[in-house]
Amino acid sequence: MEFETLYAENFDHVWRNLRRFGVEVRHLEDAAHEVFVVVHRKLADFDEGRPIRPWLSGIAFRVASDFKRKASTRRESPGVDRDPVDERPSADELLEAEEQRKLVHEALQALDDDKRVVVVMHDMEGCSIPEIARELGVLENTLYSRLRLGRERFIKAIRRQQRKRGEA
Amino acid sequence: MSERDVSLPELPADVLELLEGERKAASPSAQARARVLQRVHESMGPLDPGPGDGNAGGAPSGSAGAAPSSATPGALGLGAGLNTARVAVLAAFAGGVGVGAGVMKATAPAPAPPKIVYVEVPVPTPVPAPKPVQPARSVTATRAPGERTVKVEAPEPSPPAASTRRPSPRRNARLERPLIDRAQTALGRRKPKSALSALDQHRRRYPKGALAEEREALRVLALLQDGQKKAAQRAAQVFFKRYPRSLFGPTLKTNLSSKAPR
Repeated sequence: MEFETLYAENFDHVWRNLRRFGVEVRHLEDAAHEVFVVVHRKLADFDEGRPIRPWLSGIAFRVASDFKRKASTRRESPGVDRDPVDERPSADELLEAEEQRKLVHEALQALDDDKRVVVVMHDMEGCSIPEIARELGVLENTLYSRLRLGRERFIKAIRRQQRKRGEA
Repeated sequence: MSERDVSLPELPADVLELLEGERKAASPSAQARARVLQRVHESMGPLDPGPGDGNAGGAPSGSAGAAPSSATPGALGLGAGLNTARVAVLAAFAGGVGVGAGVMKATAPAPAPPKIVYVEVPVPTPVPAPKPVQPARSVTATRAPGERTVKVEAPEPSPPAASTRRPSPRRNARLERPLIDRAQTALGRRKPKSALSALDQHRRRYPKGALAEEREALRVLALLQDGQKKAAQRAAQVFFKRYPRSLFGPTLKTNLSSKAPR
């Protein structure tokens, strides 16, 4: 696959996953840049028989972890803020989707990195556990266990956020 | 072990709905997409090496600090039928001029002494190592497992001549960047006239600058935002003719075909 095609087709995917993995909005462009630099370097070695998105998610997860580590050494606190999205007129549906996105991201930030990545890749991206195991180099049984714990905590975090907003 | 063997808590319907909503949430802006692309472009060198060249980009710049540093020479995708030898070349590259398409690092400050840089040199498999013409100025590569040793003649170290040295493309890009950034910011604030003014200024100052491609792509977006659709289409035609394989192409096409400019 050519880099240009890959970039055009997967930029949004990488961007959203970086956000889900907890990269702050102001660092998203830097993080996306690093992801695609790594992708560019390793593309020649990529086995085209494999699905591309789990591979990209694995790279995005590692880059995101690195960004968060750097942020924590700078004593920055992760925050959920508004993404610089297209400045088209916002319809009610868009606002509602934006609220849902915030709620989901806040709940995701309540998870540890190792559980968040499985929930994102499995439940949000639709990757299979064997695919995730391959990309992250983690045993399948471990991933199932993390997915179970991750889901439980994710649901609790969602409920907590909903209570805060008076929705539940 | 299949998922059915594990008692996974099911996600409630309302949570599944939330996840579905999150997937549909707004996309990153076209400007962010273009900016990241440009930065990758600057980090990796030309991304569009043309047919037959493979991925001939060099290593990323230091800005990619978090990227794993395990880039192997073989991962750069040189042409089929060629071996890649890691060669240490003793050279003074004035202004960071690289060698070939596979330069791993070629930035040297002007008055610095000769510096060792690592370059990718494609070596045809059946050809034996060439005999150096001037052994005094040639350097033997370190032999790695599976690699053959070759000797590469290094250019004569040239004296520093700041007045005649051509700035590197990366340095050019740094000099040009503020005007392009100003145009991008103006576009983000929906001030297409300001954006066009910055782009005109860039065109006057750096007609064939390192960021000319990005400038012309932004011009199309600015014209669209300014409601000058016909002018935007003309500019786009020129752009696609000049940069037929540009990475900005998909973004421009999307914007040209959509009713509301991004």
